[in-house]
Amino acid sequence: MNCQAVRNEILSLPDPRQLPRVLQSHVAACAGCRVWAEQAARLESVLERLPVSATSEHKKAAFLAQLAQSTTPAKPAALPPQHTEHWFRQNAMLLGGLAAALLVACGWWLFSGNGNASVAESPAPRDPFLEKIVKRDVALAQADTPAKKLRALGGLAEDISSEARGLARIATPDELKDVARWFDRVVTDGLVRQAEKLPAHAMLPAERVSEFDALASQLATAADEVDRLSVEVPAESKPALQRIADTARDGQRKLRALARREI
Amino acid sequence: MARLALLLTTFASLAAWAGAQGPPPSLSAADRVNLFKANRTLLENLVNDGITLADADDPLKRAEGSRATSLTLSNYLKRAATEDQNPQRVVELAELMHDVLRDGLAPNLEEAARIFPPDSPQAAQLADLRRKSTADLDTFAQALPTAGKVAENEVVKKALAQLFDLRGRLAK
Repeated sequence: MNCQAVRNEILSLPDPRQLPRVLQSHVAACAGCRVWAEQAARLESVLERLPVSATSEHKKAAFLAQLAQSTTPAKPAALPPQHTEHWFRQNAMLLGGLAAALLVACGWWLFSGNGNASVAESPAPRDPFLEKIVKRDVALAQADTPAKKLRALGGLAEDISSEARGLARIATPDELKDVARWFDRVVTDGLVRQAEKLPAHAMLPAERVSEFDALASQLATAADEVDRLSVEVPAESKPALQRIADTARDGQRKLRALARREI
Repeated sequence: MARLALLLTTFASLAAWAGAQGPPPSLSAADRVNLFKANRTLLENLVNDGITLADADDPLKRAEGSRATSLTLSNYLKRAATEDQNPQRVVELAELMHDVLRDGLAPNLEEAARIFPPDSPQAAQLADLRRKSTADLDTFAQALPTAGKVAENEVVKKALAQLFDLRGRLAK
């Protein structure tokens, strides 16, 4: 597939942020198409944020009816002034739509780099996953009770499993394997170990059951979500996702047992 | 005509408003995977730092864990400022390091000072940790370039100034 065909394909996608595998492989290897795909994805994100009226369906129907009825004058410039004004009033909706389309086109032109406004000058994206992990570390640094510590570790595990799901279709198997290893470390060496070494007096029995059960349910949800995704990802990505699901279920089982352990 | 002008102005305003407000646009798949590749080792170190912090049972140990986390970030920050010459990354990492120092290290140092008597072994450890933490910041400051696009970037200057402002709080 050549670059032009790939770019046309990207433009025809319902959501250019979700590239099919056949396009991903080309985009990964072609810098020009990668930039194109990124710009198309950014444009999609910006368009999503344009406000839409709650009554847009009615307005759309009225607009279409008006379009069907309206007759475009062959030579509007030749109309007498009062007719011109009347024509503008009659077609205000149409003109408004055209103006909006023009604005969108201008936005596209700017984003595509043809206007010198700056893909190069636009800020490089920050890594939200990095920010989340640092926040969890700060939460762990502030955790002065076992319950806060367990919640921070639960949040860290959730962030990692969520990132694994986000990367499942686009990262290499080795990268996913790393994420699965981090998840394992947080659940096994973090959550379960902290739960095991929790002193008897650290929590009331009811609080203990409540905290541990909440974390166990969270791990069960993570396992289910990863399982659901596993059927959609390439075969080489499945082992890493399977490891995450297994780790989550193992952690869930141990936490449920620890919640009701005699202490 | 006035109505038409109003309509056009409204559209333009709404378009500008939509572009300016709300959270930043979600990452494209390509951005997401590229960021993961760029931060993979850093992320692994930070996950390990988190596990170490989870094992810390008193403010002094939590302060030591926070210092380790800030050192992890400062190593990557130095690299971004010197080898990569990437102002945006310097700002991103400087802000994250600032959060760790302000919300992790400093409060734990203050809490340790409050609970450990001045003549206790922990107080001596605390003094040592304060010295090391301020020395870390000084060493980091010396490693930063003094000229070039990173040093001259106004946003970088502001982010680093906020970071170095915390030195006094760590040294107290």
